[in-house]
Amino acid sequence: MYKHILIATDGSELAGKAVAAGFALARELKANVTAVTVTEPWTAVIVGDAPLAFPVDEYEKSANETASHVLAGVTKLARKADITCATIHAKDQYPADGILDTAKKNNCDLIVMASHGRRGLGRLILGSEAVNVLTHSSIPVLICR
Amino acid sequence: MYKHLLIATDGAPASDGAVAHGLALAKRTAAPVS
Repeated sequence: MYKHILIATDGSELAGKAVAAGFALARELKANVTAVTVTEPWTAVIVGDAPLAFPVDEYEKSANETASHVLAGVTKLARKADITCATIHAKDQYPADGILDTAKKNNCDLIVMASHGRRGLGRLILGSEAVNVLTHSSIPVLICR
Repeated sequence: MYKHLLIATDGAPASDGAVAHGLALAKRTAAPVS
């Protein structure tokens, strides 16, 4: 059965359900767990003729702080659940790419994630990142909702 | 953990993987399967 479960989270409430489901499954299967949160690459926002200046270093600082906060929350839950959980911040990648790359690099054999991310439209059956992961993953994906 | 698993299949080769994973998960979690 599954030996190394990758749990993807963006810190949203729904992702919290995926974290809980991933931990429960890992406990049942005695599997290793890695949690990943992905932050996207910096992009300039162009409004009319003027680019909005949001310096790269400020963006990176903010992305690092957000990821640290999200992963600290996962670590806290892992301790509570008595689960050993490695954490990874995948930087400068789009969420699905970051999740799939992390799964591959760490030889994970199951991805657990939420059906929608923080920005997902609830009325859609699946969010775009979940669809992308499902479409491109070569390993099973457990979608939580 | 899961109390009852539903495994969906249309008999296609791609479904066989889902059936295998579903059955393995059911076995490990002692969950009944439909």
